[in-house]
Amino acid sequence: MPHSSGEGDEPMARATLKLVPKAEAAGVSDEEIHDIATRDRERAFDLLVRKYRDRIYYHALYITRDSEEAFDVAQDVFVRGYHEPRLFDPGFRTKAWLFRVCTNRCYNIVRDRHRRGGILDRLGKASAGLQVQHTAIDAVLDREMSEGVAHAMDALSPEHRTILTLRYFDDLSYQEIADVLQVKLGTVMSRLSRPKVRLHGVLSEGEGE
Amino acid sequence: MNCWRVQNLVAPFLDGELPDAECEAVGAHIEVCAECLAVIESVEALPPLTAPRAPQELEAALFDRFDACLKERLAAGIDPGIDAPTGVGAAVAGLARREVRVPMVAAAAWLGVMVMLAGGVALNHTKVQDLEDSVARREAIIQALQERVAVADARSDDGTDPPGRAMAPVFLPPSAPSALGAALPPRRGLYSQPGIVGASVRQASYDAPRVVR
Ligand SMILES: [Zn+2]
Repeated sequence: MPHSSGEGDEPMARATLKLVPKAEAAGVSDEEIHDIATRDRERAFDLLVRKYRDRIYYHALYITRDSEEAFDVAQDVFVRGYHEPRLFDPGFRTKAWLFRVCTNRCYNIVRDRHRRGGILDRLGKASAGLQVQHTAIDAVLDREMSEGVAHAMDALSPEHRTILTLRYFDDLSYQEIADVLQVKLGTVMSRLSRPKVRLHGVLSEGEGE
Repeated sequence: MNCWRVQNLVAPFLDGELPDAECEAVGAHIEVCAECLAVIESVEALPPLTAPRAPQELEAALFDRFDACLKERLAAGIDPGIDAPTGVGAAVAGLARREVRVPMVAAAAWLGVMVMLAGGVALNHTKVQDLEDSVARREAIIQALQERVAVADARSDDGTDPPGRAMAPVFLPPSAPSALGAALPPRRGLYSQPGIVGASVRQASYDAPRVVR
C-alpha cells in the first residue's frame, strides 16, 4: 500500500541507499546525525540504522522472545523511520521515537499472539532466509532467560518487564525512558522501583521452594 | 517522606538518579525505618540485570541480512503501514480515546438539549396553565357581571327583584378592576342602558373588597 504521510515525502533517492560501516556509525552522536541530515538526509539515515539496528532488534527480541519476529519488527521500525518526515527535525527525539515505535509494535505482536494462543502460524514463514540463525538465537535467549533475575522477570507484568528492559538491557537513561513511554520522569522512577522490589520477592520465593 | 514514597524511589536512589534533596530525604528515612532499609538492601543485592546477547557469528550473519533486507525494502518503496500513521501507541490510544470521547460529547450535548427542551416544555406548560386560569377567572367575573346586568335589566323593567335572582355579592379577585376594564367596553355597545351598566359595575367594585375581607 502506498504510504500517505503527505509532506516530507521526498525522502532519499531510494535505490541508492548504502549503509555505512557499523564502526563508522558507532561513534557518531545523535546531534551529529541530525546535523548531517540537514545536508545529506540519506547518509544521516544510514548512520542512524547502523547505530541503532542492533539495539532495536534486541529490544524487540527481549519483549517478543522470538528472533524472527524481532527481526521483522526492527525492519518495520526503520522503514517507518525512513518515511517519517520529522525524523531529523530539530528537537525530534529520534532515539526515543525508534524505541517507542518498536515497543508498541512488540506489544501488538505479543497481544495478538495471546489472542491466537501461540506462534504456531509462523511455521514455514522463514523470513529473510535466516531460519538457522533465528532458531539458534532463540535457543540462546531461552537459555539465558530461563535462570536468575532474567527468569524472575517473567513473573512481572509486560509493562514492568518493558521498563526494566529499557533501563537495564537497552541501557536507556531515565529521561529517554520517559520519552519512549511518554510519561513523566517521576513516573519512570516509581515504575522502575516497584518491579525491582517485586523481583526480589520472586527470587526469594524461588529460593524457598 | 513516607514508606510508600521511599519504596517508589528505590530504583533511582540506587541508580544515583535521584535529585539531591530527595536523595537526602530517602537517606534520612531509612535511618529510622528498618522496613524501608531492608527493601533497599534487598534490591541492592539483586544480581545485575544484564542483557542476553547472541554469539557474535550469529549476530554478524543476522545484521548482514538485516542491512540487505532493509535496502531491498526501501528500494522497493514498501511502507510497512503498521499500526497508526505516526504517533504510535500514544496515537493509537489517543484515537481509541477520541472514538470514545466523540460519542460521549455527543451524548452529553444531546442530553443537554433534551434537558433544555424538557425544561422549556415544562415552563411553557405552567405558563399556559397560568394563562388558562387567568382567562377562567376573567370569564367568571364577566359571567357574574352579566348576571348582575340581567338582574338590573329585570328590575328596571318591573321595579322588583325577580325570584331566585337576588343580587348575590360578586367575589372578585384583586385583579377584578383591570379585568372589568377589559371585559366591559364591548358590553356597553350591546346593552342600550350604559348608565345602569355603569351602576352595576360600581356595585361589583364596591362589593368585592368588603366580602373578600
Ligand atoms: Zn519506611
